[in-house]
Amino acid sequence: MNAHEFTLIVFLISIGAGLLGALTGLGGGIVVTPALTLLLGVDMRYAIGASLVSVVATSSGAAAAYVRDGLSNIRIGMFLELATTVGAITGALLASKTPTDALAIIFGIVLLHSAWQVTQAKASAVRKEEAPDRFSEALQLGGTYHSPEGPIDYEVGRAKSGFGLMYVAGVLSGLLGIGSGALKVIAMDRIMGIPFKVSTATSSFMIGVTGVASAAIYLKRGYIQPLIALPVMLGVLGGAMLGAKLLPHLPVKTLRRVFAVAVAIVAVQMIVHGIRRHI
Amino acid sequence: MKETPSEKRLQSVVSVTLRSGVLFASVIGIVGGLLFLATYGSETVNFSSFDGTASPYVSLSSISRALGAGGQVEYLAVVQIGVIVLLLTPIVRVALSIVGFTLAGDKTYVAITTVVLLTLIASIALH
Repeated sequence: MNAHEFTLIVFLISIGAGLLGALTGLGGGIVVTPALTLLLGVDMRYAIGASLVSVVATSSGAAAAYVRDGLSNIRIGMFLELATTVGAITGALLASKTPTDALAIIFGIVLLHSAWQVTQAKASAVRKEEAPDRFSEALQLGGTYHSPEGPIDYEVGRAKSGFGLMYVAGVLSGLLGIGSGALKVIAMDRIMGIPFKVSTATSSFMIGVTGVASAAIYLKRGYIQPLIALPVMLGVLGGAMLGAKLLPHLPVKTLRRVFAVAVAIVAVQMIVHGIRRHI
Repeated sequence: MKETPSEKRLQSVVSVTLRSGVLFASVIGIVGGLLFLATYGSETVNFSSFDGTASPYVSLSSISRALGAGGQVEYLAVVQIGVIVLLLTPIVRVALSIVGFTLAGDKTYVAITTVVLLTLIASIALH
């Protein structure tokens, strides 16, 4: 196909990915890579390069809103970034040593987990209050955020476990060119007891920083091709903005279930292709 | 932690900077992309084979060489500059956070954030 056709198709797919990301909280990146590799036969490395660019784009685009609203906790984010950035560099260095078939299989597994994640209840109805550990207190990790019911204070517990999980999230991010937002939110919301809204906002801001940690390595290794990265970046941004506007008007629960099934199917395809060495 | 007025102002600065960065990067990318498509849009593309480090868009020096080279590579180099501007936005954000923590007199977090920034810069030096 020619450049016109290619960029148009990639752009349209990316808008879909951005929409999906906005509606499910999955992040556009995780859909872009399978689409590029399975549908368009793009080499896995170019795909994860483009995906990483889109991840940084949506993070910087979305994070701007959260920071302004005071939902992100910058201290928690920065502290955890100590782990994710090192993880991301590790992952990016590993990516070049990992055969693309193995990358596809790992990707499929992570995708399956994300699909499952999407179907779970958004936040535990009764959130177990984590008692702050001494570590968290010393690092002033707690905070306050504004909810419709008024300002809510929160403390942070099990900071060290959260830290460890963030390293893993970083490795996955660097290895697969994804944001690992789902894993970050799990670590913050379920393990560290940070309110869901703050977790998602902080994760959104962190994803960009984690992404950049691998981006330099991706760039140098030639994973980032401008003709692929550009339509992906613009499409995902556009789709995410559109999704955010449409969100209040859509039957989100139904959509999430439909998407979870679709994403699961794609995940299985990635794994199968990886096993058959078709990728 | 209650927000001070200067913290609030810094948050606005960060917010504006991020969005401007994304916008700026997009404009550069679109200009380069449209120029490319206008001239070379009907060329076939094949991304199934991986060139790796032979690509002309892998570093600032290879990109500046591409800018003078003319042809497809020149326009795509412009696009890649847009991509790099985008990739710089989180780095700028981290740097601004250091400023914020300095203003707040928070030495622990000045240190933590500086380590994060240094890690990001180190990734640029790695091969």
